[in-house]
Parts: sequence; C-alpha cells; structure tokens
Amino acid sequence: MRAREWIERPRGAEPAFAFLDDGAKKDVRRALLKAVAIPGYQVPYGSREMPLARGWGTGGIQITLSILLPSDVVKVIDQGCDGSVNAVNIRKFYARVADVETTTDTAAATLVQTRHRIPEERMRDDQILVLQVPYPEALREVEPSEMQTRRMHAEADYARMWLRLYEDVVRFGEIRLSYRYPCTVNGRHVMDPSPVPRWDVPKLHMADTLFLFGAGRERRIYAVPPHTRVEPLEFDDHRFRVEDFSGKACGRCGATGTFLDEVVLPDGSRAHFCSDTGLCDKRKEGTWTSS
Amino acid sequence: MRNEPLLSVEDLRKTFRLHMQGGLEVHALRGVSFRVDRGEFVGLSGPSGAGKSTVLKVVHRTYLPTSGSVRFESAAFGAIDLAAASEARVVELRKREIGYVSQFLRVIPRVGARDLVAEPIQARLGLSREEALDRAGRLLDRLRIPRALRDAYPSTFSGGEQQRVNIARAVGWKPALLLLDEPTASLDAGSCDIVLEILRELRDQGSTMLGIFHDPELMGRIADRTIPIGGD
Amino acid sequence: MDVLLRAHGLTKRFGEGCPSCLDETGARVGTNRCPRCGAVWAVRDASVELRREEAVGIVGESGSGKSTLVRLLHFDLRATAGWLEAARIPALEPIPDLYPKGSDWTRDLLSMDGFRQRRARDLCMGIVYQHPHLGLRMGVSSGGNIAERLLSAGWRSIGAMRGRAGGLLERTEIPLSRMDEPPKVFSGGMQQRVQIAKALSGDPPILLLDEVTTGLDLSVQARVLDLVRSLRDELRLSMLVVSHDLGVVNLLCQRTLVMKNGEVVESGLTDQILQDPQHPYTQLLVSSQLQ
Repeated sequence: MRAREWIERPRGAEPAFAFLDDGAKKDVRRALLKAVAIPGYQVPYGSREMPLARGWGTGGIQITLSILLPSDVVKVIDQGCDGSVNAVNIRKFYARVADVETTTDTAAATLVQTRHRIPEERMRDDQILVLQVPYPEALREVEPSEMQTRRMHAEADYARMWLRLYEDVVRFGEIRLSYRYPCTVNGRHVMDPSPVPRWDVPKLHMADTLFLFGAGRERRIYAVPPHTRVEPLEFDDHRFRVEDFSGKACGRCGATGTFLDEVVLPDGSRAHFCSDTGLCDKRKEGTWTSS
Repeated sequence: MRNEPLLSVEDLRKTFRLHMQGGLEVHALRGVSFRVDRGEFVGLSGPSGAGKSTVLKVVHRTYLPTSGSVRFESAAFGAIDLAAASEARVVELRKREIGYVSQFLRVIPRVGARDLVAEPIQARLGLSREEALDRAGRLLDRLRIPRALRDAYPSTFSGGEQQRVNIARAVGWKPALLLLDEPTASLDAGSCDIVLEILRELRDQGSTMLGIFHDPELMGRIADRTIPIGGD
Repeated sequence: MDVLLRAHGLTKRFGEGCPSCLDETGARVGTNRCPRCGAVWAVRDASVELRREEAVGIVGESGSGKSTLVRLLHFDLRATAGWLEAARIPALEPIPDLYPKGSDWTRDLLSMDGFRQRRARDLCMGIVYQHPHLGLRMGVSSGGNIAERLLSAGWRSIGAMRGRAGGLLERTEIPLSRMDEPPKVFSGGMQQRVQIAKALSGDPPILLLDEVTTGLDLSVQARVLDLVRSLRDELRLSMLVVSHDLGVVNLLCQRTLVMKNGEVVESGLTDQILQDPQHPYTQLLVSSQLQ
C-alpha cells in the first residue's frame, strides 16, 4: 500500500466528541478535581497536542474541551474582546467539534474562556470561567529553579515573593506589578491569577463562579472554587490598589467604573474604550441592565 | 580569720608530655601540698623554674593537673575539687569567684583601657555601665594612668602602663580568690607601692590571695606567709 | 549553666563508603579520604554541647571538618549519622509536637523532615558565613536582607520592618543611609556586619560563626570581632565560633574543640588548650601559630 492510501484510509470509529479522546479528557478531569480540592495548587498533567501553537491558549482549550457538554453556550474573549482573531478562531473550533452554541453575551454563556481578562459582569454559580495561563508559576520571578519553587509551595515558604514586593516599595514607593499579581488562595497557596490586570483580581475573591486555569505549554492546571478567599499580597501600610479610571469614560458607550483600554488615535490624541467588548455592545444597544 | 581554708592543695603533681619532642616528659610539680585560709595573702617562693607559676596555673585550671586535688570552698557551689571539676563549673567559678593576674596584659582589640577594667565590674558585680566606668576610672587614677589615656587602646601603652591596667582589671571586681603571677614585674618602685596598697585593701575587704613576686622584699611586705615551692 | 544544644556522633560522609573506611581514615591516619573507595569522611563521630550564654570555639586546619560540623548543625547538609537535640528554648515553642510528652529535650532534630528542621533552625539559630554571598542576597537591599527573615516570621508592616532592620544595622555600625543599598556595593567588613545583623534579626539564642573574619584586613577583622564580642555580652548569645585562627577563638570563647581530619581530637577550656595542649596535634597547632 502506498503512503497516501495509508494516510487516507477510512477510520473505524467516529471522531471523539469535542476533539479530545477519552483518555485525554480523563487526565484533564482528574487534574481539575485535584485542583479544585487544593485551591491555588498547580497540578501537573499531560498536555496534549492541539491544533494551535503552544503559548496561544492550548491549556485553556484542553480544559474547555474536557468539560464541554452539547448543551453549553460558549463565549470566548481575548483581552476582553470577542472579536480578536484568536477568540474568533477558538469559538469557531468549539462550534465545529462540539456543536455547541456560541455567544458574545456573558450573561447568556454557561462557559466563558478568556485570555488575560475577567468579564466585567459578575458571573453566576451556574457559569464557569476558564482562563488561559502563559506562566503558571507565581514564584518564577524570584526563583528560577522548579525544584525550589515546588519546595517553597510545599512548605508555604513565600518570603522571597514578599521580599520582592518589599524591595519595590523601598525602591519605588509602591508595588510595581500590574498584572499577574500574586494572591494567597484559601489562606495557603500563592497563585498567579494569570496576566489579568489588578482591576480583575478582586473578582476572584469569594465569587459564586468556578474559576479554572490552564497552562498548556507549562502543563499545569489550577483552580479557585466558588466562595474561596483570594487575597492579593499586600502590606498593612501599603495596601493593594486597582487601576484608577476616575475622570475617564468609554468613548463608545459612555461607561465609567469599567476597565478601559487606552487607544492612540491617528491624530495623536488618546481615547478610552471598554476592554469588555461584549458589555460595551450591550450598553450601546441598550440591552444591558445592571443586576 | 582562721576558719577552714578557702583553698587546699593536696599532693599536686604536673607532668608535661611533649609529643613534638618524641614524648619527652617534663615533671613540673612533684607533689605540692599547702592550704590558704580566708583573708590570707600567701606567697609562693622558690628558685626560678621550680614550678611556682605552674601551681597558680593549675589552680586556675589553665593547666590540667596530672594528679592530686585542689579543693576550693566556693560560695556558689560548696566544696569543689578544681582538678576534677567540669569545664562548665570552672568557667562559672572564673566568672564569679576566682581571678587571675599574669605578667602579660591580654589585649582586646578596639577596647579602651577604662572599658577593659569596667567590663568585669559591670558583669560580675551587676553594676550599671556608668557606675562600673566610674569605679574603673578611679582605679586607673590611683594606678596613675593618665586621664588622657583612659580611652586609648592599651596595645599602644608601655609595659608598665599595660601591667597597671591588667591589675586594675583583675582587682576591680573583688574576686574571692585572686591568683597573682609576678604582677609587678614591669613596674617601678612607686607603682609597686600603690599596687601593694590596693592589694592590701582588697585583702581587708575579704579577698584571699595566692601570689608570686619576683622581688622577695616586695613579697615580704604583703604576704602573711610564704610557701616554698621546688627544691624539696 | 544549662545546656541548650547537644549533638552526639555527628558524621558526614560523601561517597559510598566501604568496610575499610574507618581504619583507613581519621586523625591518626592523617586523611579524610578513603584510599579504597574514595569516600570523604568530612566529619566523623563528633560530639558537641553548647550551653546558655557560652561561646565554644572549633579550631583546625583545612579539611578538619570544622565548617562541615557547623553546616550540619545548621541543617545546610544532611548528616550521615548522629543525633542532635535542643533543650526547652522559648523560641522553639511555636513548633507543634517538637518535644515528646514530658521531656525537656526535643526529638532528634537530624531525623526530622526538612521542613520542620528549617523552621526550628530559623527560630533558634543565626549563622554568619565566611563568604558574605553565602549568607546574603547580594542584589537585594541590606534592609531587605534583614526583612526577609521577618517576612518569613509573618511580619506584614513595612514601617515596622524598616524600624527593626534600621536598629540592627545601627547596632552593627552600618549607617542608616545605606539601608536601601545592596551589599554588593559594600566593603568586605561591612558585608560581614550586614550578615551579622541579618543573623540576629530573628532574635536567635544561638549564633554560628563560620570563619567570619578570615580573609578580612586586620583592622577590619578587629572591628568585626569587637562587634561580635559586644553583641555576645549584650544579647547573651550562645555562640559556636569556627576559626583556623587561635587568636580569634582565644578572644571570644571559653571552651574550644580541636578537630583534625573530621574528628574532635581534644576539647577543653580555651586557655588550657592554648597553654597546656594534651593531644599531639593540638601541641603542633599551638606551636605553629604566630603570636
């Protein structure tokens, strides 16, 4: 038989639901269970080959594919935007391999997959947020060795991370971190909330929603179950602050009190627009009501 | 004061084994016995090299005796054989009750003369730093250490000045038993007189002393009695 | 004087070891290294006791095992054999189940897991190494180096930490204005003093000094030794002082151990060791020193 005939031979079984085979799904689901049982702890898993390059969301995709049901309604955003190339492609992929409904409306979704932002609308207990994580290890900045960081997590030895924050305050008068702000989860593990801005960190604390974090390239999964404490590292005399958007509003829908992207217009002036495009759309259409 | 002796040495022997000279044995003491009563100043006399210094060093436990006993009536611990006592015990006794003056000042870098003298006064008599410094200052004055040198480092002093600081350091805290090994070796006659005066006062205040003087005339002036060492 | 720490039969072997090792190594034979199997017996059957407010010296030449002994006590290395117990020290109270019921002594600290060992060590010991880069983070500010200990202990106020760090730096004669500079810009003597400040930051009852003045200029050495002496008296520390310099040990310690090829060959009052050495090696060592 020639090579081409071999490659194109008819296969016996049907393609698996949601792309991943049962074995892969079991691996991810077991990791998810363990992650939920130990909030904030990074669980290693066997990250599968995906039709997307590493570093583009393969971890988040594997989690979504492992928990998708045909009844799910899926929203995918990238930096808050439903319309970015990546978000669009991933959404189309889900529609094709799992035949699920998709949406840009957070309130209508049952599962939201996101890169680097948490939706502005408070999510409910019947929704799940899956976050794409490039670098799961919160301590990597202060400790390059994997063996050491594992020991540090095991022994709750986080002094080096605290020291990094101390040095920032001493040198710059404040903590310089703007995203990937380390948080203590459930009073035990220090977690990297993924590159979401500070603005989004408080949304993780005592939420109604289940948050699942997937790092495909680094092969780690972690989770924050509902009603779990997520407390950003802060000092008694230098508290955690979020970004300040006072005096600014979205140029498109007029919203205030929401995370704004700053855009430099062709004429050199600056304008601000909602990062959460789905919510911006709803406001513009007049279909959004605050709950 | 004739009660039981403060110090009682019984058949003390000391042999040095020099391994670097093929195990050569040097018999420094061949069975010395004597007693020192409270409030006495006992002098050790004898020819040079006879072992007088050795006796003092064995009592102070700087040398380990080969055999014999050194019974000391400690105020804190009762009757103790210094020859058999534990190191910890000896450290405590040296801190609280037994003092030692040698010919050589042990210089501690970066500590001035007055601080050197005040240290043991503060630590062992429980005085405040100011009081200790005050006493130390007065003692140095008596020993004619110029005020200008009070806070200088003794490593720069003359032999005589160093020796006077040494003596002040040893007597300032009024040890129950003071061992003196040629304390006036580098002093002129005038300084010797002052030192003897200070030692007499110390004895009158209750300290007991065992000492060697290179000058038998000096020894005669202070010692209540002398014990010959060596040549017996 | 009560004993704070007692160690017995401490042994550290590098390599496999063989039946001939014990006969072919040691002080009598004159080597640490077994000619048959190549194992290095860095420390063999060493015992040491440290009392309250006592300074004990450990002297010997290169290869004597004196530094290794101190590293074993500090849990920098894992002992091959031996046991180590601590008395009832208030500093160790926070560790649960450290003392068997009704006992005044801890369990064998050497056979405990690394986590509890490190906790016990951080609570009751400080160490100063010969090379400052072993004890300090050179790129972190001096104040930060001290703060790291405090952060481990749960301090969360920057103002309070800077207050304590400032006090310690002042006590070790480092100008406050240099608190935010990293030790890598300091002179050798100053780096040692930062190490001392850091070692004392947790108020340990025990201080380990491993050749702290070796390699320093004479005047600098005097300053550091003077500092150590006055701290010893003021803070009523118990100290273990490792040095190849008999003068250092004479200055600081009431008792001294002499080590050769991993074994303790003699121990006694420091002045007795120096003026009436019993062991042939001690006699050799003492007669070799310049005075």
